[in-house]
Amino acid sequence: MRHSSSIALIAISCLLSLIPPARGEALDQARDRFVHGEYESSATFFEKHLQSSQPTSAAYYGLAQALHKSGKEAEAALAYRRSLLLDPSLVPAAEALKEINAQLGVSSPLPQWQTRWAGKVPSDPSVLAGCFLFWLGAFFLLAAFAFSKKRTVLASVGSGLLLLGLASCLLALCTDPRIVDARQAMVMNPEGASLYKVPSEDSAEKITALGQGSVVEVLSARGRWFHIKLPGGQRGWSLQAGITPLIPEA
Amino acid sequence: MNSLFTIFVAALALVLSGFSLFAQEATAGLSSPATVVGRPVEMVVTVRDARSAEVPQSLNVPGLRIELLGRSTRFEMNNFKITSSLTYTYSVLSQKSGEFDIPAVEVRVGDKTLKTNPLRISVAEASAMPPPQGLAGPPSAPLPPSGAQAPRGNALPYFGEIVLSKKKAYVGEVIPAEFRYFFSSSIGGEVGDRPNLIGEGFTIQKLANVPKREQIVNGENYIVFAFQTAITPAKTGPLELPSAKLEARLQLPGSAPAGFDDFFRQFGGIAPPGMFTNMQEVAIETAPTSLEISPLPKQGRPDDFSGAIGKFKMEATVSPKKAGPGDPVTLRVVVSGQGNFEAMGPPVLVEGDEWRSYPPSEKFQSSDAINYAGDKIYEFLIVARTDQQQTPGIAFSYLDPDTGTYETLIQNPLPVQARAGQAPAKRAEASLEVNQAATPEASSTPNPPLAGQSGGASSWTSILIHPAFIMVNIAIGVIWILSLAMILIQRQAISPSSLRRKKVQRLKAALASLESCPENEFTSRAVACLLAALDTHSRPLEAAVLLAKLSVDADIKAVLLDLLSRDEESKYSNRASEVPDRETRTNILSALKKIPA
Repeated sequence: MRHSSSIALIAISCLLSLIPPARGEALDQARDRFVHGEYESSATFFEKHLQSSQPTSAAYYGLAQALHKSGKEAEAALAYRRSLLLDPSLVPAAEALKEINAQLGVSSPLPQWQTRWAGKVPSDPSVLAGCFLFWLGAFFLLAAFAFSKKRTVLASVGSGLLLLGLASCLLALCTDPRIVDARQAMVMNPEGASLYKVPSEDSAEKITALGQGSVVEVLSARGRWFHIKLPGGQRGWSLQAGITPLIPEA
Repeated sequence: MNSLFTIFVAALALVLSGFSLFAQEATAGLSSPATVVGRPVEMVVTVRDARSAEVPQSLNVPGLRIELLGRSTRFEMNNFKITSSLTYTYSVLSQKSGEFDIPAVEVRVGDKTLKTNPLRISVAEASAMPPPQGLAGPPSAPLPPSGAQAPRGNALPYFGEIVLSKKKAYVGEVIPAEFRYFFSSSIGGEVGDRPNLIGEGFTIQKLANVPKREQIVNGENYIVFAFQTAITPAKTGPLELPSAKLEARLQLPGSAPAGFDDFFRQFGGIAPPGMFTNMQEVAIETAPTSLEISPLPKQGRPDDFSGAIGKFKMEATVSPKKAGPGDPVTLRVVVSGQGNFEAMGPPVLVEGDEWRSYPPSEKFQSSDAINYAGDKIYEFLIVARTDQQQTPGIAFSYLDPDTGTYETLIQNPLPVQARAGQAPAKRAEASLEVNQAATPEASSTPNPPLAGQSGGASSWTSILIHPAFIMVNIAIGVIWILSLAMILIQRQAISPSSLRRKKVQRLKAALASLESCPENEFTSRAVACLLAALDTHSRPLEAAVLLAKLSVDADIKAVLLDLLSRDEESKYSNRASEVPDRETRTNILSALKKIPA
């Protein structure tokens, strides 16, 4: 049993070191251009860096700032949102997003408990800790089953750890914005987008118009159409062109 | 007869429509929302649509003495519905200055408990209170609105007024103001969201609603709808504030419908006042007023004056107290008080050449609805150029509008241990970047965005659904299940049923080999079988005892005892043992098979 626990620990440690942070020439260039006020060029280098490296909240935040200063509000809002998906605790990004939303005329919804929790407890470490506790508890229960001595203590400790770990993992599952908001997309078209009752551009079937910067939930895709849901619960169809998923496609 | 019936139906409809306007409720109001220490004000608790009620004799509010003075009952008739209002008057006497919250008063009406609205009263020191024309004072001379109709006596059914905290001010100074609209408590209706005020030469804060209150003016009870705001003059000279209109639909006293006068004349009288009302749309206006706006005095203006006008105080803290080489130190300065927080500039650092500083972040925490009072927090990030033992000093200059002189608040340097050196890139940049985000326009030199290193995830896939994570968990799960299986197998192996099963299997095998064994070994092997069946390995003496207790037929016992004696004889006698004949062997075999496992 001790052997099994050791294997589990080693495996989790390996997971932790799966993705080392990357810092490249493009990033240095982006930062340098930003310092010298060349914001459009800086944004290009940030994008280049993000294409070649692991996505980080800070890189998206930098990209958003460069885009914002270049006057590209919608693109900046998308980058701020992506930055917040990766790190919900990044308060400056949240504040800047509110400001841009006001400029775009898009409402900033009040943060739900999931967002507040995710802002306080980082998801991945929470999952790792929860997973570790879960398996530790499971092996304690196994020990309680195997040994007659101190069976009650072992079973109690095991059950407690197991439940704690399970709760931690479930909470992370419910609050991680990368899971919760995985289907969200933003209207990037400067002219906005239209919501139709059916996947047809018949103006008689038009439900409403969505402004640039609006965030919608993509339920499914059919041809060149998205079946989407608005924050208010209204559902309809909209053309895929001009609607960009918050989580970039690989 | 027909016309009388029509009148009756119309009257009934009016009565029914009046029900919704006078629900049973309790409200509270102050004769003035502000006073000075030692000057009492009246608090009136009105209970509508009730004949009797129980109210507390006194209210326990720390700093205030609130005692019940008396009670009065008023009956009103609106659209044939007679309503009674109970009015309880309390005296509110303040013993010290400050802001006091008077909690909701509980009023028992029959089985029900009604609660009034909570109130707030500002109490100033006796010398600090301006004359009654100030914000706090009750209207000294209500303005007669055009077309207003008096419900009874000379009291006005409604009127509006503007209350300014001062009539003379400096350009850029924030002047708190309150628009008040008074409605006689005997009329009902609907009131618009907020008044309209359009003019030139000033800016106005967004209007903030003040909770509805009751106020006694010239002996008449009014419901007051008030809106607070702050006016900032933008030019010098006389400033005209136009009237602010608030629209309302009011149920005002009206004349009787055609035919009613004749009806009452039949009985030798006239319709009682208040019996008939008309719904009218009215615009209640405040009177235009003027202010005298002066330019900022040039004499004595400090170089670091950044436009602050009001009354302020300043506090500063530094963190961390010890900073490593090149680490930034945050100098937090809180400017609090009353004034034009939105227009003023930050404090300045004095003798700060030894420090590299950046434009501070700003955050304003208002303590009122009009952003007139509160705390403005500036955070300077400073990095020591050389090793330092104290922060730079801080200076903040403002114009005191009461005295017309400039004041400068000085904060002496605060002790800190900061070492010069190259800043660790990550922390300094992170701090600077957050700072820049708070004040995007404040910085003249853009700080490089932080990238590459930060908190948060570095993948779009949550670790929870990462394939590697799932595989590792599956592997641990398999190990766990295998471990559990091993434990179960071990436990099963030593269980009594398993042991019994094994014993039966061994016995069967031994009996099978007994049938085909050589004749000279039969006795010894049969005894071994018997001992195994009885679980008394190599203890023949015990076997005899156990055999006696065994629940089998006496014949079988005799055969088996005979077997044991044959075995003993072969072991202990000198002559060679006798080989049992075929019949005996068959009997022994049969007896051994009948021993229960």
